Amino acid sequence: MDTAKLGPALIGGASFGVLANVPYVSAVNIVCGALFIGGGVLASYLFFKDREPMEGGRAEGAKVGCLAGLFGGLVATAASLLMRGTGIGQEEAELADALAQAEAAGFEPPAWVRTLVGGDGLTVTIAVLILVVTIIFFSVAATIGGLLGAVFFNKEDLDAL
Amino acid sequence: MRLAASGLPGSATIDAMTVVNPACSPAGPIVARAALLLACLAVLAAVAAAAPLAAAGWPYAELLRWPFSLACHQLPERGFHWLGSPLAVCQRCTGLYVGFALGLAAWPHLPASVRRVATRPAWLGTCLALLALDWALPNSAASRFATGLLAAFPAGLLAHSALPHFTNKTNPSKTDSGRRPAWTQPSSVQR
Repeated sequence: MDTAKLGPALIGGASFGVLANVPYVSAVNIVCGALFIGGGVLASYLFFKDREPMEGGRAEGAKVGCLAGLFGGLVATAASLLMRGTGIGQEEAELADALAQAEAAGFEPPAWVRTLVGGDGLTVTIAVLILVVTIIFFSVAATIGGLLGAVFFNKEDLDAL
Repeated sequence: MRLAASGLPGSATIDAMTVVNPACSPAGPIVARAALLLACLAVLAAVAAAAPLAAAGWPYAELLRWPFSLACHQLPERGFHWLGSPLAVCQRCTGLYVGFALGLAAWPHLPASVRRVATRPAWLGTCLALLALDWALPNSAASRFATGLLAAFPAGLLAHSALPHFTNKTNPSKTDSGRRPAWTQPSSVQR
């Protein structure tokens, strides 16, 4: 693994992963995942700020953004689960609502859905599901953020495109 | 490391990384681009499918919407409707997803001059500023979709332009002789 990317990715991912769980600030994320994208942009900025312009910088920006997304997804999920453990958070309630709607429509949900959205509070299954979905979304958005960041912070010769 | 390419016409050497790394071979970017396009289409299908599935009474349509709630407000009055049900994301996000997929799909068919302009920081910044302006000012469904599409289109182009470099650890766009390999040149890779 390229260690030069680790620092920027950790800072970008972790900071925006935490922000994604701060009340009110997290609302920014509903603007098309702006916080996730921002994590990638910050990581890209930190990666390129002390470097000479490099060819292929867009790919490097995307890589550091993707890495930031992985870290960010982990941090965001950990923070989210911590808040849910303390009674804050709403994802589980949303899932329970969705299941209630299904049952109201006369549909008998399979056992795995009940396990997923079970009323026994936080389960390992639901925690893993949230982790996977968050990491995927954070990684994709942060990769795009890193790509965009590379355009602005790495003065690459775009005539080579 | 360089390998002798005896028997091949033209240049006598091939960069070893080009040989062993599929993403650096002429077929590599095509496969990667196809995979990326398929992923985009799968996401778009999931976004769209939530509406007809909900309209058909499929009880898990809401669960299909749930992952998208991480990055979208999903307000029904701000979303496109299909068969009476809203899509899984709002109009602006729909524009972003469609724009990214279009940018990815359009790259090989765009003239090099258009690609250069569309991926300039100034143009990219303008598109993002339009998106922000539309968000801040009174807007309509069409403006939300259009500014989303316009902002994501260059990002799709950029994603495609980064693909040939993605798994290369060294400077991928130049051979040892200092010339760009033929497959990275617009006339060969983007056709």
